[in-house]
Amino acid sequence: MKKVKKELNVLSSFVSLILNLIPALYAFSCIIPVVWIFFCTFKTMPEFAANVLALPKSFLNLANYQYVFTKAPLLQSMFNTIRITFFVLLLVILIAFINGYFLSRFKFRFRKFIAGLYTCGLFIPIHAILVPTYIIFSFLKINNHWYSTILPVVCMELTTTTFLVMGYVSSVPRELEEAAYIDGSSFSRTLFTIVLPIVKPVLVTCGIIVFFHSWNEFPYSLILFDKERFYTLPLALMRFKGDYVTDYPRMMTFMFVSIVPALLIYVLFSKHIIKGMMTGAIKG
Amino acid sequence: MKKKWFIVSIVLALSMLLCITGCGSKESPATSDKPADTSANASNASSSQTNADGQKEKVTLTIIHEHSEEAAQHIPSSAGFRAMLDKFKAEHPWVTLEETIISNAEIGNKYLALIAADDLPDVTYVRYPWLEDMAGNGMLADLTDYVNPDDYVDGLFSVTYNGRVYGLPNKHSVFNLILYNEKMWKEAGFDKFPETIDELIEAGKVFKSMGKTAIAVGNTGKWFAVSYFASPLMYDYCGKEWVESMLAGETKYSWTDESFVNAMAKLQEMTVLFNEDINMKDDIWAAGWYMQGNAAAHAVGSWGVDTCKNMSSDYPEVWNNTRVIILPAANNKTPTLISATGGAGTGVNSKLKGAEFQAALECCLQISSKDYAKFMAERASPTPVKIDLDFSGRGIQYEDLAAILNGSKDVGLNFNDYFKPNLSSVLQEEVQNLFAGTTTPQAVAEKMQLTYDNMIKK
Amino acid sequence: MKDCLQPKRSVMIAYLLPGVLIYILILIVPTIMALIFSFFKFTSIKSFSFVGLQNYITLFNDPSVLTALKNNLFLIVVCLIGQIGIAFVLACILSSSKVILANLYRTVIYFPVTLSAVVIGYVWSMVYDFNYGILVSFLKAVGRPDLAAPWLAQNDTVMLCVCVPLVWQYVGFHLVVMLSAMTTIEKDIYHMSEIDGANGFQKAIYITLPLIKNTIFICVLLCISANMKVFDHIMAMTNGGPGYSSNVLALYAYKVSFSQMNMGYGSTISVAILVVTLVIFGAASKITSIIKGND
Repeated sequence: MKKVKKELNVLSSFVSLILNLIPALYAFSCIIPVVWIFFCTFKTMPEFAANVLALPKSFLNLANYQYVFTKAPLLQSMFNTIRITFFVLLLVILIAFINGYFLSRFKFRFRKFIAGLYTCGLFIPIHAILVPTYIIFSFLKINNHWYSTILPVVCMELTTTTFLVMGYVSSVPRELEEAAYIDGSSFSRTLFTIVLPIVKPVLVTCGIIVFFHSWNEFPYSLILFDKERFYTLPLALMRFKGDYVTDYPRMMTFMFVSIVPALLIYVLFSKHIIKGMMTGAIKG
Repeated sequence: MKKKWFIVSIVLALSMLLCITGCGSKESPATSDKPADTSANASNASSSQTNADGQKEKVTLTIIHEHSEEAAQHIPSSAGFRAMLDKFKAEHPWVTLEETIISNAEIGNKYLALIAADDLPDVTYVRYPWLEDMAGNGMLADLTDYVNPDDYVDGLFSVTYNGRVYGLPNKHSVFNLILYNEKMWKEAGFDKFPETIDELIEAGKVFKSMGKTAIAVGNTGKWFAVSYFASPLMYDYCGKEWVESMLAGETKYSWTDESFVNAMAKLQEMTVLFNEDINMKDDIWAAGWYMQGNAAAHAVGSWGVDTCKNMSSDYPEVWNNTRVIILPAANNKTPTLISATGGAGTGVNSKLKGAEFQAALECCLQISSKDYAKFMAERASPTPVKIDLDFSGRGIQYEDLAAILNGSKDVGLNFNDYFKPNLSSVLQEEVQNLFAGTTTPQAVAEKMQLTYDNMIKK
Repeated sequence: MKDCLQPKRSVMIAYLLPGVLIYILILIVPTIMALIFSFFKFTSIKSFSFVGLQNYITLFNDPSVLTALKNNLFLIVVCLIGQIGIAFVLACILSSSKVILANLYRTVIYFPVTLSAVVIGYVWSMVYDFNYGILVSFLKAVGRPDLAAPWLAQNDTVMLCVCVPLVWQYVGFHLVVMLSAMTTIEKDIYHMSEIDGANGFQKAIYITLPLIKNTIFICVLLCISANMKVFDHIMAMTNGGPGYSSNVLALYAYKVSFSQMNMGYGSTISVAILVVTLVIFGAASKITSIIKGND
C-alpha cells in the first residue's frame, strides 16, 4: 500500500515538473528577443554588421544611449505617445464597456445593426482606408493636430474590445443588477457602480491590449502627422532608417528605451489584474 | 464611493492638463527640437519681395523630405541636402522652413496620400514616375523659365514633362559598380578582374568550388539586383534605343523580344556568383560580409564605397586591397554606366504665389545648386549638377570611382527610377524568382509584356 | 415579458449614439470611399476615371491574388490550431494549482505581443539566418548541417518559416484573454469534479472548454480576421518574397496601391479581403451553431 502511494507521489511530482517546465520554457523564449535587443544597444554599427547575434564587445559602450537621450527627440515623442495612448484608453474602455453591456444584456431594435457595425472593423484592412481617411481629415482640416490619430486608433480597437466585454458580460449573472434595480437604483447608477467593478478583469485585459496597440501605432500616425513635434515614438524611430544604410544599434537603443516604460507599466498593472481576477473569482 | 469620485476627478484633471498642453503647443510659434529654425539674422538679402516698410514679407514654407540628422551622418547626399537647407535658411532669414522628416522607406507612401488628396507641401519631392500624376494634374509649378538644362548632367530629363520643367534633380547615383578584393582574385588565379560577363560567370564557378562567394549581394529590398544587374544587361542586349522606346510607352518593341529574354537568361546564369541567401539578406549585411573577407567582391552603388570605407577601420586588410570597377558588359558590348538623377528632385507647389513662390523656388535652386555639387564632390559623391569630379587624395578606391564617373561614355537610365512603379515592381519580383530558380526567362518576359500592355492600354 | 432592467429608449440612444457616430465617420465612411475607388482608376482627387468592373476582372485573372489568398488561408489554419490551441493548453496549465509562478509566466508570455512586427520579423530572420542563425547552429550541434538552407529565400519553405513567429507572438494574447474569461468559472465546479475522480485533462475538456466557449469563439474570429489582414510581419520578414511566394492579400493590396500607384485596383483587392473574411466568418458561425445545436 505504501509502495503504491510512493509511486503515485513520484508520478504526481513528475507531472508537476512537466506542468511547470512547459510554461517556463515558453516564457523563456519570450524574454530572449527583449534581451537580444538590450545586448545590441551596446554595439557599434560595424560590430553589429559583423555578427548580429554575438555579445557586444563591451557592455560599457554607452554611446548609443548618450545619443538617444541627447540628440534624438525621445522625450518629446514619448510625451506625444503617452498623451495619445491616455485618451485612446479612456475612450475605448468607456465606449467598449457601454457597447458590450448593451449588446449583451438587452434586445432592442437596432441591436443586430450595431453589432454588425462593430464587426465591420474585423474585415477592414487598415491600408485600404489610409488614403480615404487622409482625404476626409484633410477636407475637415482635422489632420496634423496633436489629437488627429486618437479617434482612428479608438475605432480600430473598438471591435475587439466590444466583443470581449460582450462575451464576459454574458457570463455574469443578472441577479446583482436586478437587486440594485429593485432597491431603486437608477440605470446609470447601476451601470457604473455595480456592473463596472464586476467586469473590471475584462476591462483591464482590454486596457492592456489597447495600450500596446496604441503605443506601437504607425500607419495612421505616418499619414496624419506632418509636424515633427506631434511625432510619436514609432515615427521618431524612422529617423534612424537611412536611404541605404540603417544604424541598427542606435535604432535598437531608441526602440529599447521606448518599450521599457510600456513594459514597466504593464508589469506594474499586471499585479492589479491578478488582484482583480482573484476578487472576481471569489465574488462569483 | 469617495474613492471612485477621487479617481474620476484625477482622470478629468489629467485629461484637461494634457489637452491644454496640446492646445498650448499649437498656438506657440513653430519651435522644433532641432537647432534649425531661423534666427533674426539681419545679414544678406537678395530676394525681390518687400513691403512698404522695406522689410521682407514673412514667409512660411513647408517641406517634406527624408534627410534626418542621423541619415546625414552616414549618407553624403543627406548631408548635402541638409547643408543646402541650412545655407538657404541663413540667406533667407524672413523665411520659416517647417520640415517634416520621413524615412526613405515610408516617404513614398506619404507622398501618395498627399497626391491623392491634392495636399502637397510647398517644397515637394518630384520623382520621375510621379510626374504624370503631379504635373499632369497641375499640382506643380512650371519652372522652365528659371533653370538652365545645360547645368545638369541629364539635361533635366528626369524632371521634364511634356517639354516643361517641373522640378530640380537632387540626387545622382550610379548603380552597377563592383568593389572587389584584388588579393582574393589574384589568389584564385585572376590577375585582373574579368572583362566580360561570361568571364565573370566562369570566375563565379571557380569561387563556388572553393566554397566562397564571388559577389556578395543583399537583395531582400528587391530593387538592388534590378539596378545593379538587370538594367545594364538590358542595355547590353537590347540597346539604348530599345530601352528608351519602352520607357516612352511605345509598341515598336516588346518585352518578349529575343534580346530581352537573352538578357534575363544571362541574369539567371549569374546566380552562381552570389551568396545563396541573396533574396533574404539586406545590403548592409552584404557589405559586412565582403569586408570580413568572406566574399571576393560586393556589388555597390556610388554610395556603397562610403559604406565600406566606414567599416574599413575594423577590416583594414580587405579595404587596402579593394578596388572599384564597373560591372563588365555582356554580349560583346562596352559597359554602360547605369545612373539615376532625381531618385528625388524637388519642386514647387503650384498653389504658391508671390513671395511664397519666390522663396520656394530659391529653396529648390539652392538644393540643386553648384554649392551642392561642390559639397558632394568634396565627399567623393556624384551629383546631378555638372562639375568636374576630382577625388584624388582620398584613396585609390575613390580615384577608381572618379575615373568611372568622368570617363564613362555610355550612360544608361536605372530601370527602377524611370519606369512606372507597377512595371518595376514586377521585374523586381521576377528577378528574385530567377535567382531562386522558380521561373524561366521566357516566363519573365511574358509577365512583363502583360503588365506593360495593361499599363499602356488605359 | 419586457426586461425590467432595460432603460428608456432615449437613455439607450444617449449611451450608444456617440460611439456609433464616431465609428461611422472614422471607419465606415473611408471604407465606402475605398469601395467606390475600386470602380475607378484612381491616383488623385484631381484625376480619376470610371472603369466599371475592369478592376474586378483583373482581380480574377491575377495569379498573384490566388497565391496570396492561399497563403492567407494557410496562415489562418495554422494560427487557429497553433495560437488558440497552445494558448488554451497554457491557460489550463497556468490555472492549475500545481504551477508556481503562474502570474510571472503569464506576464512574460505576453511580452512578444507588445513588440512591434518589425522587431519580431527581425528577431526571427536572425533565427533563420543561413550563416549565424540559431536554427543552423542547432542543426550543426545535432550533426545534421546538411539540412541547413536559406529557408526564407526558398519558395517551398518560406511560408512554413513565416507562420512560426506569428503563432509564437500571439499565444500570449489569447492566453491573457482566456485566463480572464476563466475567472468567471467558480472553483467549486472543479472541486466537485475532482471528488468524482476527474483528472486534469478531463477537467479541461469537459468543464473549462464549454464554459469559456463564447470567449474562444471570439478568439477564433479575431484570429481569422487578423490573419486575413496580416501585413507587418510578412513585410518585415520577407516582403512577400522570394518573388510572390509569401505574398498575402493585405501586402499585395498595399503594394498595388502605394508602390504601383494603382489605388483603384488596390481597393479592389481590399474588397476581396472583406468578402473572403465574411465568407469564412459565415462558415465559422454556421459550424459553431451546429455544435451549439448538438449540445
